[in-house]
Amino acid sequence: MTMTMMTKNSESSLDAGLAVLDDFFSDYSAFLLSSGCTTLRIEKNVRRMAARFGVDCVMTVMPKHIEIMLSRGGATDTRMAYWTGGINFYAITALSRLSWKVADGKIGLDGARRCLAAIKSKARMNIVFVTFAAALANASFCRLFRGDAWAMLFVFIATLGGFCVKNKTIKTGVDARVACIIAGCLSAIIACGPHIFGFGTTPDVAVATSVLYLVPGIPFINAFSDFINGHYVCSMSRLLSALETTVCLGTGLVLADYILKLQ
Amino acid sequence: MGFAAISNPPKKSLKCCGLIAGIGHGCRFLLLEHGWGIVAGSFVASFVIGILAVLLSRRAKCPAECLSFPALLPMIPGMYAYKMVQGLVGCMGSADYREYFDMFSYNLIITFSVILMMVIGITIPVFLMKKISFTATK
Repeated sequence: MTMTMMTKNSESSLDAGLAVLDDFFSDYSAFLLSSGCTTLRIEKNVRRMAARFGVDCVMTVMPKHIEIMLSRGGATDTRMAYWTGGINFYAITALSRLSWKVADGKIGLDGARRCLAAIKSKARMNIVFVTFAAALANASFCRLFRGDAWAMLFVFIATLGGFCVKNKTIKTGVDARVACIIAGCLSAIIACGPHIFGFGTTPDVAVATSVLYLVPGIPFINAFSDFINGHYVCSMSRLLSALETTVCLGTGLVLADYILKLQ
Repeated sequence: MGFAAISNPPKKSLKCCGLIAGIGHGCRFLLLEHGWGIVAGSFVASFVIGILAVLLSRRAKCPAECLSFPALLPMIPGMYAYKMVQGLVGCMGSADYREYFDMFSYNLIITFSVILMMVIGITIPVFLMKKISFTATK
């Protein structure tokens, strides 16, 4: 995950303490946004901590960056932080916990910055476990749609292959949308096994459910959650991003149909 | 639990996610078997998930969304979204334009309605139990 910060000081920004606070808040909120948190929770967490430090906080949450303006007395300070990153519920939990620790006075600014650095550096869940868990979940999904044992087996293998390929291609710097198309296409081709070799009685279910692990469920939910809470710009941004991913997985499926010339 | 693992949840919350998702999905299954539509069934199931997530969030020491969002993932209408895209692609340069357009528009409405009602369903308990929802990680 990368993050850059731009400083924009108003003419009356003379308080170095405000600048340091603003650095922390912008870093914190950008990381929280990148982890897939709803805009409402970001606002609540940051305002809770700002109240503890006795500063007024105005946040502007945009699709790809957050602008935070702090003011105390006559002094103001503004920071913008950009984010790129993946959904991370551990980070959302840990950052919420951190905001309460700060609000309750259990730690000060320096402690909070150390905690934030520790949360950022925590490794994600073991990728092998995640890959197998996702494959099992997708195979169960196939069963939910009344797929038989052969369909489930091929969906399991298709998800394993597609998930690995997606992670590897993203790591090599390929655009996430292209990675999604490649993964969708590969998963669909593998899931066509029952169709091609005549295994089982539900080959169509295997093909249809093989790409469902790519459906961006969390971005869709976050988009509608922001919509309900009145953050329309963020809502539209997340919705468009989710639709983009859905179109990409659909494109992968269509490509697979074209390559194998299935109807 | 498998879909939740993709989003790197706290390990403590994985069991709760699985339990809540199972109850929610079971609730929706029963409602669909009794003739309820998918939109109404998804709303009721997500309301149940929302209540359980808020109540269990204190035990799991994580925000209610970290329990309810992964639990909702199996109920996301992936098949309808896939058929929506299939209909859209089929509209392009096809002689059966009307059939594919019907497929696209029907699945578009169902997908968006189900997701909207699911999110409303999990948001209502958060608003009703605001104190618990926003102090779970305290």
